[in-house]
Amino acid sequence: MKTKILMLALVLFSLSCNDFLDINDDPNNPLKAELTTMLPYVQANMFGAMGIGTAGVSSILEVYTHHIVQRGNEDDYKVQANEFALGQCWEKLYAVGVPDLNQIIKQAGEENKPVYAGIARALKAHAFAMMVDMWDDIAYTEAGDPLKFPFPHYDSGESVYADVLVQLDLAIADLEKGGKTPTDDDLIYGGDVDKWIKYSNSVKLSVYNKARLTNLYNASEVDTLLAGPLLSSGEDFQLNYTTSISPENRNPGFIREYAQNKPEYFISPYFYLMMKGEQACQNDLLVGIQDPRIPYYFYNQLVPGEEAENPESYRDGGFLSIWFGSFDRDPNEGFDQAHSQTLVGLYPVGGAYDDGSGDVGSGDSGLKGEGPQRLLTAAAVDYIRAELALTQQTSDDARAMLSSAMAKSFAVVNEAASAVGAPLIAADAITSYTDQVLALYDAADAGKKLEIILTEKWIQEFGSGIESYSDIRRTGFPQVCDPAQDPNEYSIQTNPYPVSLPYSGNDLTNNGNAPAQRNQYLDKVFWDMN
Amino acid sequence: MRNFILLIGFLLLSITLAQAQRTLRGTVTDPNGDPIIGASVFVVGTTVGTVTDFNGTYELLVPEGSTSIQLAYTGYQTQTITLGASNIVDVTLPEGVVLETAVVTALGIARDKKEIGYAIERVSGEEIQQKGEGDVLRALQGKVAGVNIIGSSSQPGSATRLVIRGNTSFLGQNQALYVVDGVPFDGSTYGASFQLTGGGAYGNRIADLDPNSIESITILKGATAAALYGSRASRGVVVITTKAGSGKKRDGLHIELSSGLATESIASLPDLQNLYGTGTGFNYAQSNGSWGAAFPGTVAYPTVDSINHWFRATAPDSYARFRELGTAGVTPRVAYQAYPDNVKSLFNKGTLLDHSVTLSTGLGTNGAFVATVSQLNHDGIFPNSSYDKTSVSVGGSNSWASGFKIGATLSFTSSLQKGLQGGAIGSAETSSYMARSLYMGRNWDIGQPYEDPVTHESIFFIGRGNADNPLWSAKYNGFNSDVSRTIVNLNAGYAIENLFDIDYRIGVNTYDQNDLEWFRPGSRGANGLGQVISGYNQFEEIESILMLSRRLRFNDDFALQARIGHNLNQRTVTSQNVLGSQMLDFNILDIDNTITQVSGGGDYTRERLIGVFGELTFDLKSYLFLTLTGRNDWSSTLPVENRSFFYPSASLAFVFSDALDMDPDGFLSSGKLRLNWAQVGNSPLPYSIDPIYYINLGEPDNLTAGVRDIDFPFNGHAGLTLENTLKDPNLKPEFTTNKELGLELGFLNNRITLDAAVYETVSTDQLAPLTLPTVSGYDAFYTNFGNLRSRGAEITLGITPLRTKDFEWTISGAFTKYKTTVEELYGDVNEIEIRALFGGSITPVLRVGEEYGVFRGTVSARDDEGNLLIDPSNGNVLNANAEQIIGNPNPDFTLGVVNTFKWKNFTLGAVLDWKQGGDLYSESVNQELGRGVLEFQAVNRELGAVIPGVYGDNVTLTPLLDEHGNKIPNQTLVEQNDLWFGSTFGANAQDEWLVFDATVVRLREVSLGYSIPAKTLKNSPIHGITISVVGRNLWYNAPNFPEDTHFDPETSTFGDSNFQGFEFQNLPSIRRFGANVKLTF
Repeated sequence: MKTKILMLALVLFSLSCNDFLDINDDPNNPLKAELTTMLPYVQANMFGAMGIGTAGVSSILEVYTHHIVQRGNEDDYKVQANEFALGQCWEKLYAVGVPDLNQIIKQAGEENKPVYAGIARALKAHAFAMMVDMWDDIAYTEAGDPLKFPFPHYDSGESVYADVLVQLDLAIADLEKGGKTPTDDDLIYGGDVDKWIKYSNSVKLSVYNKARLTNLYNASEVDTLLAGPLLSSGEDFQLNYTTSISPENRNPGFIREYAQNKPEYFISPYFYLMMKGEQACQNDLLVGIQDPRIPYYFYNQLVPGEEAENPESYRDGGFLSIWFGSFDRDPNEGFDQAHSQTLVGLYPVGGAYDDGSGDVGSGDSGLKGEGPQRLLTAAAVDYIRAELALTQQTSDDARAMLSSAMAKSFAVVNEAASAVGAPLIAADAITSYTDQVLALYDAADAGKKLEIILTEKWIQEFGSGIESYSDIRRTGFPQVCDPAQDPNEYSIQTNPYPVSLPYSGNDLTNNGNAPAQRNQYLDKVFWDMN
Repeated sequence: MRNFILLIGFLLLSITLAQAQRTLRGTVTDPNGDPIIGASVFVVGTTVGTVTDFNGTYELLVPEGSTSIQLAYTGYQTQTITLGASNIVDVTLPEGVVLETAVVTALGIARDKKEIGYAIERVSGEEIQQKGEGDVLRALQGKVAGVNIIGSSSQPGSATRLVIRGNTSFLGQNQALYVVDGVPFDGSTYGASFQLTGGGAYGNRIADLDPNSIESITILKGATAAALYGSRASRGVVVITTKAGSGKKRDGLHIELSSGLATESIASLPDLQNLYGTGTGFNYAQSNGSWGAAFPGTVAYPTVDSINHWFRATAPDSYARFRELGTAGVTPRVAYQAYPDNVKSLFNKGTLLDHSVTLSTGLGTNGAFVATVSQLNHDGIFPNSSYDKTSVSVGGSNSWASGFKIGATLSFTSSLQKGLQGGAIGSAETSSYMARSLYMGRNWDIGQPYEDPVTHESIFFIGRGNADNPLWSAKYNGFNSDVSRTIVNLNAGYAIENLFDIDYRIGVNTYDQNDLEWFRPGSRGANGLGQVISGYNQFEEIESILMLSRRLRFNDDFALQARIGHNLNQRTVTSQNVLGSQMLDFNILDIDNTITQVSGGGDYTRERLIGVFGELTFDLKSYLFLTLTGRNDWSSTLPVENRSFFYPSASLAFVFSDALDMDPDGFLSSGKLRLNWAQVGNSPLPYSIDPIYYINLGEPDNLTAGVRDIDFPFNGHAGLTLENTLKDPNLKPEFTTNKELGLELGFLNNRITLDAAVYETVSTDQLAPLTLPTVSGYDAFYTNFGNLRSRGAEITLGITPLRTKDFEWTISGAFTKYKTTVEELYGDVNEIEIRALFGGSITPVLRVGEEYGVFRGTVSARDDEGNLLIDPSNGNVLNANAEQIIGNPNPDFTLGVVNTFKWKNFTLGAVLDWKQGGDLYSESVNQELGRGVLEFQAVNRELGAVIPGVYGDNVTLTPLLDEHGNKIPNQTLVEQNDLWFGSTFGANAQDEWLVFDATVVRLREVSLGYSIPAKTLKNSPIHGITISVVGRNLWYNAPNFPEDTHFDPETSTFGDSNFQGFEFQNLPSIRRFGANVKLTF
C-alpha cells in the first residue's frame, strides 16, 4: 500500500514539467492577418467613424449643417466631450484605424505589395485631414506607437495638413508601383489603382481648397492637380452598404430611420424650405427655385391632411418635423411622431422614394438600407474646383464647374432612383433647375456666386456632414438658420456657432501631454480665417 | 523557498516518538441527559482523538504521559478533563455560547480555533436553511462581519455578489473564492448579452449550491487564512462543507424531511399621483410623461373629459377585431380618467417552494453515507419569471484500522431560470418589462388589449418605437438559462504509522450553461423582426491536492505540526453565442427559426497551475501558536521566464488568558490576540501576452442604442482587426499583501464575546488593462501597474443578556467598515474606466485617490461659490463642460444585528441590517421624477418654480453680472414639468442629480420556530419536528431617496460584476413570507 501511494505521488509530481504549462496560445484568435482581410475592416471602420449612424460623427455634424434636427444638445450647437458619437468617432479613427492602417503599410512593405500600402497611406492621410477639420491640433507624429509614446503630444493642425499632402504623394508613388492589387477585398474601388490615384489627388485638392487662405496653399500644385486625374462620375469615395440585416451591413442612417420603428432624425425644416424654393429662416437665396430632388431626399409618412399621431411642431402637407433650437422649448417637439415624421429618404441612406402614398417607413422600405455613405464625391470635387476657380483664379471656369457639379449631383440621385425603380428626375426638370441656379449665379456678385456654389454643394452633401461643416466655418456659406427668424415661436439659439469640436473627453484625463480641452465656440481650426 | 519546503519535509520524516497507551471509555451527554452524538474527544496536546457514536459513547487510546482530554461539541461549552486513575470518563457538556473549537481552515484542514492567528467565521447550515431564501449567499446577509453581499434583482435565480473585505483587483475577479468539499467551485456569471441593453438578470453559478445540502460554511477572510489555496486566495475564501462531504458518522438510518412554502410580493411601490394624465403643459397628448391635462373633477378649471383611443393598428384587419372600438377609420373616444392601480397590477404574487430529503446512515463500523435530494420551485412576481432547481448529492466515506480512509461525493444540480428581458430605458434593443412599469402614464388602462390580434405586434399607449407593452414583453420577450452542474470529488488518506499522514483529493467541477434569449416579431427590440440568441458556456475545473502532514509533540510545552503539499489545477472555459435575426414562425424559439445567423463571438480559454506548498505550526505551551506557510506556483498564463512565483505567510495566535492563567469564571473569561501577515501572488488571464486579431468583430454591443452600426463579414468579406489592447510580453505575477491584527475576548463566562480585527490589504503590480489615451493607437495596455489599498475593521459581538432555564436572549452584531482606495495607476494615467456603460453617460471608474468604482458623470455648471448657473433664456440649469466624480457606491459601514430569543422550544430570530452610505445611480427614480407620476409632483402643479441659482453665460459658463458687477439671482419661473423633465433635476438632468445616498436600514429576516423535542415524540417514529414561519425584507427605510418613490436601494443591474451602484430599470425588490416544516426520522 505504502509503495502504491508513493508511486501515485511520483506520477503527480512528474506532471509538473514545463510542457504541461505551455498552453498559453489563444486557439481562437490569430496572431497574424492577411492584407485581404484587414483592408475591408479599415475601410468600413473609417466610414463608420465619419458617417451618420449612432457611432458616426456626421450624426452631430448633420445637425450643425442644418440637414437634420435631433432632439439633444446639438440642437443648440453644443456637444459635450462625452458625446457618444464623438467618442466613437475618436475611438474608430485612433484606436482601430491607426494601428490597422500602420500594420497594413508595414506588412505590405514586407510582402512587397505597394498597392496595399498606397491605399492605406491615402486612407490614413484623408482620415487625418478630416480630423484636423474637426479638432485642429491633434496627435499625429506620436500617434499609434504606444510603446514609444504612450502619452502622445499633439501637433498643430497646420503641420498635420502639411504632412498629409506629403503622405498623399507617397501614397500615389506606392500606387504607381503596381504589383499585386486587391480585388473585391477593396470595398470601395475593387482594387482599381487608377481610381485610388484619382482619389488621392482629389483628397489633395480638397485639402488645398480648405487651406486656400493659408500659407499651405500652393497655386502651381493645384494647377497640376487640376490637370491630372480626379474623381469623376461613378467614382465617388463611398462605402456601399447592402440589405443584409444579419450580419448588419445596412446603411447606419437607414437603420436609425427605418429599421427600429423609432426614427431618430428629423429633416431640418430650413433645409426643406430651401429646397422648396421658399424663404427659409433668414435665407432667401433660392426663393422661387424648387428642387426636384425633394421626394428623393425626404420621405413623408403622412399624406397632406392626414392627422399626425400627436400635436405637431412643423407641418407642411405631408411633411412633418421639428425646428432647430426648439429642443425642450417647443411643447410639441418632444412627442412621439414615429409614424408621422418625415424620414431621410432614398438618396442619402437607401431609404424610400416618396411616391406620395404616406405609408409608414419600415425596414422593408425603399432600398432597404442599400445606400452608400459618401465621404468625397465627384460632384464635390467639381464644387471645390468651382470655388477655387472663383476665388483663386485657377485654370478652371467656375460657372462650368458649378454646372457640371450640379449635373453630377442629379446623376447620383437618379442612380438611386433607378436602383429602387422610382421615376427618374426628368432631364428637363434638371435643366430647368440648373438653368435657374446658373441664371442666379450669372446675376450675382462674387460673394453671392460663392454662396450659390457652396449652397448647392451643401444640398448635394446631404448625408455626410464633414465637408459642409468645414465650408460653413471657412466661408460662412451656406448660411445657417437663425432660429429667431423661423416661424416657430419657441425656437431660439443660445450658443454661438461652434468653430470646432471638443476632444473626446476621457482621452485628455489620461494624457499629461495632451492640450487643454477645446472651447468649441472659440478655438478655431487653423484654416478658419473668419 | 524550496529550502522551506524541504525543511518541512525533513521534519515530517525524521522525528518519531514511541508512546505507551491506555484505553479510555465514556459517555458524553447534554444537561438533559440525552447522549451527544458526534462530540469530539481529543487527548490534549496530541493528534489523538475520536468522536462519540450514536449512544454518545467513545473509546480512545490515550498515549502514556497524557494528562487530560478535551471534549467539544458545537453549541456546548468545551470541557477539559484531567485524567485520573479511572479508565471510564463520563462527561456532561453544559450548553452555552462558546468559542467554537474545531474549524475548517484552508484545504479542509481542521484545526483548533484557538491556534488560528487570522480571522475566520463559521456559519452552520441551520442558520441559512428554512429561512425562506433559496440563495445561499442572500441567506447569509447581515450575519457575517467583513463580508459585503449584494443581491442583484428579484428575478428568480439572479446573481448575488459576495466580496470579503473589499476589492483587491482593479478589473479582475473580486468575489471570494468558493471551495466546496475541498474543490474550488466557480461562481462566475455568464450570459448571452449585457444587461444594460437587454438580456436577462442571469444568475451566477454559485446559485447551483443547494442550501439544504450544506453542513457548514466557513469564511476565511484574509489572504493569510487563504494563502494555501494559492492565487485566488487574495479575495478570501468561502469554504463550504456539504452534508455529503462532512463524513459525519451515524448509526442507523436518519431521514430528515424539510418543506418550505413562501409567497413573495413587490416590497414597495411608489406613491403615485392620480390628478394629471399624459401630455405636456396641462394639455393632453399621447406621451410618456404625466404632465398633461388634469382629470375631470380634480381641478377647479375645465379640462378634457374624453380622449381618442390610443390603439393604432398597423394591419387594416386589426380594427375589425376590436368590435368594441367601433368602426374602422373612426377613432373611438374613451373617458379621460386615472387608473390608480395600473402600476400595482403589473406585479403578481410569487411563490417559493423548497423541499428536501436528507438521508444519512453509517456504513460498516466506521463508514458514513449521506444523500440529499432537493427541489426548489421559485416563481417570481413577474409573469414568466421562474427558477427551478433540482439537486442531488451523495457522499460516503469509510476508514479502516489499517489507517486507510477513502471518501467520495457526487453532486448534480439541474436548474432552469426563466426570465424577462431587462435593459435600460435608453436602449433601443431593449423591450424591458420595466421600461415603463413603475411610472405608467396615469391614464393608461393596462386592462386594454396588448397584442394586435392579426400581426401579434405589441400595442401600447405610446408608439412601438418607444417601448413594448409590459404585458406583451413578459409574454413574448424573455430568456432562459438551463444549467447542469456536476461535481465529483474523491479523497483518500493513509496514516503511515510513525511517519506521516497522506491525504489526496481530486475533484472535477463542471457545468454546462445553455442560454436562450428572444424578442418576438413586433417588439421594439431587434428591429421588430424577432431575434433569437442561443449561447452555451461550458466550464470545467480539475483540482488535485496531495498533502503529507505530521503532528509532533516534543514535550508538554512544545509541539509542532508540519504539512507539505502539491496542487494541480486546470480550468477550461468554452463558450459560443449565435444570434439569429428575423424570426419566421412567431412561436418557435429556436435559432433554426430565423432567417440569418451570425456568431456572437466564441471563446476558449484553458489555464493550468502547479503549486507546491508547506505549512509549519509551532505550538508553545498551547497558548502561543506560530504558523508559517509558503507556496510556490507555476502558472501557464505567465511568460515562461516569469511563471514561477513564491509567496509566504506568517500568523501568530496568543491565547493570553491561558498564558496569564486567568480565571475562566472571572470577568474576562478568555482572550486571544491574533497577528498575521501574508502575501499572495496571482497570474494573469490566459492569452494576455501576444497581440491577436479579432475575426469579424462587430461594433461594440453597448452602444447607446444597443444596435450595431455594422457587422462583419461585410458584403461577404471577412474583416480582421488588431485588438485595441496592447500586450506586455514581460508580464509578472501580481501580489497582494495582507496585514491583520485581531482580538478575541470572552467576558463573564463567554456571555459576551468580541472578535475584532483591523487589517490592510495592498495589491501591487496589478494585472489589468491600463487605459491608454486613445491617441496612442490603443485603448489599453495589459500590463503590471498600480496599487490598490484596502483598510478595514470588523467587529463581531455576541451578547447573551438573559439566560434562564427556559429563556435565552442572544444578540449577535456584525460590524463591517472598509475603504478600498486606488493609490496609484501608471504615469499620466489617473483614471481607468471599469466599464463604459452608455457611451458618455455615468461611468464607473478607478481614479487615483478615490475609492474603488466611483462614478464619473456630468454635472451642472456652478459658480465659484457653488451656486447653480441658470440659463436666463429658460430658467433651466446650465451644464458644466467637464465631468466629475459624482458618487461612490461603497458604504461607509454596514451593521448586521441578529437577535435570537429562545423560550422553551420556541425560537424567535430577527436580522436587522443597516448600511450607511454608498451611492446608487437610479434610472427608475430618474424616470419616476421625469414622468411626473409621483404624488408630491401633483401638489401645486399649476405653480411654477424658481431654481435657486444665479444667471450664467452659456458659452463661458460664468455668472452674468449686472451693471454693478454683481451676480444676478435667478428669477425665471419654470413649470413643474420643466423642473423634472428639462435640463434640471429629473429625466434630462445631469448625472449628478440621479445619484442618491443609498443608506438603508432593513428588517431583513424574522423567523419564529417551534421544535417538538425528541422526548415528547418518544413513541412515534418521528424524532423531531420543527415548524417555523419566516418573513424576509419586512421593512426598510432608505431616507435619502426622493419622497414617494419608496425605492429599495438594494439592487444592482450588473449582477455580480465589479461595477456596482447602478440601477437601470432593474426588477424591484420583494418581500417574502414563508412557512417551513422539518421532520426528522
